[in-house]
Amino acid sequence: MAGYQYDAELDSRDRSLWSRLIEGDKSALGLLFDHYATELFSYGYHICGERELVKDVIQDVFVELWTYHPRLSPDVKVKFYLYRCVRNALHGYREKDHTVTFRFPEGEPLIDSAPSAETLIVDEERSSFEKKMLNRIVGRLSAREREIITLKYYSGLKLKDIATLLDLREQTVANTLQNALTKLRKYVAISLVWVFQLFS
Amino acid sequence: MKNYLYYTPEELAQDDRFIEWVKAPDPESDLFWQNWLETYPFKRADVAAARQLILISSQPPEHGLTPGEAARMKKNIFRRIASSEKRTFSFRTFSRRMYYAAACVVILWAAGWYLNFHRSDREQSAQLVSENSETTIFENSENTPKYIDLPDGSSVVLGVGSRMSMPNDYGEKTRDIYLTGEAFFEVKKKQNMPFLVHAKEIVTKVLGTSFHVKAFPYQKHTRVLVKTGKVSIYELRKSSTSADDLIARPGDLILEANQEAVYDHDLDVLQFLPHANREDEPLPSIMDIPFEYDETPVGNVFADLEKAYHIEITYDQKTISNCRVTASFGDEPFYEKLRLICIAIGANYEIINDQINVTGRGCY
Repeated sequence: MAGYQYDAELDSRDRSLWSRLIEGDKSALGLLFDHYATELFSYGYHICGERELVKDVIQDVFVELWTYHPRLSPDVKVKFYLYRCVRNALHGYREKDHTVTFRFPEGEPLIDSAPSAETLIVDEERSSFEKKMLNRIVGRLSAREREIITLKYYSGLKLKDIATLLDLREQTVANTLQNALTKLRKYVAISLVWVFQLFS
Repeated sequence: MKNYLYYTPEELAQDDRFIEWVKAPDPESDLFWQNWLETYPFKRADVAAARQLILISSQPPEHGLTPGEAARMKKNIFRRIASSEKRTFSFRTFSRRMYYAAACVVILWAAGWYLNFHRSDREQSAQLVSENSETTIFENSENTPKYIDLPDGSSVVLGVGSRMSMPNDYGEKTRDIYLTGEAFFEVKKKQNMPFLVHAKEIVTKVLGTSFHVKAFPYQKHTRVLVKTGKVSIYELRKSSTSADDLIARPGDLILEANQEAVYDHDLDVLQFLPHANREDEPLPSIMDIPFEYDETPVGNVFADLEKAYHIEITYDQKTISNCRVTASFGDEPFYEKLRLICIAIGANYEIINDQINVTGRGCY
């Protein structure tokens, strides 16, 4: 399936920032950070829930990117690559008890970019109560389900990429997603009833 | 065209086209889905449910990254990059604006400097050399300092009228140098094999980076000045000179950057020397050369190297002299500096009769 137009734009933006980074343009690193910090943080936070750790890890990733910039592969899906770095780094922390090992993914082809969730749909004005409630609904899913949901909808990654990222088969990811959505729908129905009762 | 008619809300919520419409509707997708709903009005509830699923799932976490936090992180990243670059040797040639951020090869080098050899004391100092083991002796009777490579990659600039001896098994288990006179050492750091410089009554053990030693055989003081890093200094004990026995004892000193110690031969004590009491004697030229370059013509850089190491460097003025170097060197030995500079300007070097010849295409 062909990418949407705005994906193509983001894609070419990322691609040009990436090649500027490899050539040693520090401002490109800064721009990549601006574009992805929030997203990466949300993703990392979903994985481990430790705010400061996630912040540290993201900083480490960007510092390391600069350290290795001349040796980075020019042909990567930038967004996916960054997600993978954060994920690897977080798992490195978890496994080695705060000794990070960066396993930089080998070059991923830069084709077939996934639709992105750059634009967050959720209304800014939505009350914090409602936000809290929605988060609580998502919070009832298992950690794996939450991660896949986040990657799919918040981060806009393709199932194929999610599968690679999580080291799962694509079919497993699809099944998990399906289950998660079914659960969510059930939870939503219940909690909406509850909300109505509260305000009636 | 997919037949969305039989899609469950969950399936709809997984469809890229549908997700796209929910998240970022445009006239085209609006038209499609509105038409579709008009055709199948009974699917409205399913569409609403699917929409809800997507919206809930797209939620950022409750406590997302605040702009302030992001700004602090960014600042932190660039601060860390800047401080690591001070430690890294980074180059760029003037014309191509290419950056060579050499991977941070933090090998610790140490340097020692032994000054003012006193000719009449030569015999007396030479007795420090272990007479039993076979040694190689270097003597500089010429009137300029002499550059010597050691087997382990360390290097020495041996001063005029100075003598240095090295056991032939140097580098196998131990690295001991016995020196009389003056020399500048650049010591390759090796784990489990300390570099020991024996000079008169004291032994200086390299813990890292650079230090400066003045051992005046004819004076009652032996001095050690640390430029960067750390060294430890021991009094030589006649009973034991092997490295294993060189464990710290009361009276031994560890010197850090910018500290100086003095050994008083008469009083037989080793102590710190206050700043105010430092000698004003000129330091060897290599101690004064910062090796910091910012868009410096490569000719000036070569001139510094010649001055510091007393090695002649020839190069083609026409091609190479328009190259510029930006670099910050630490205590890398001569050949490492030369190699890094050559990388920066895209040149090669060869050694012909103790003379360095640099060739390259030049910079444009």
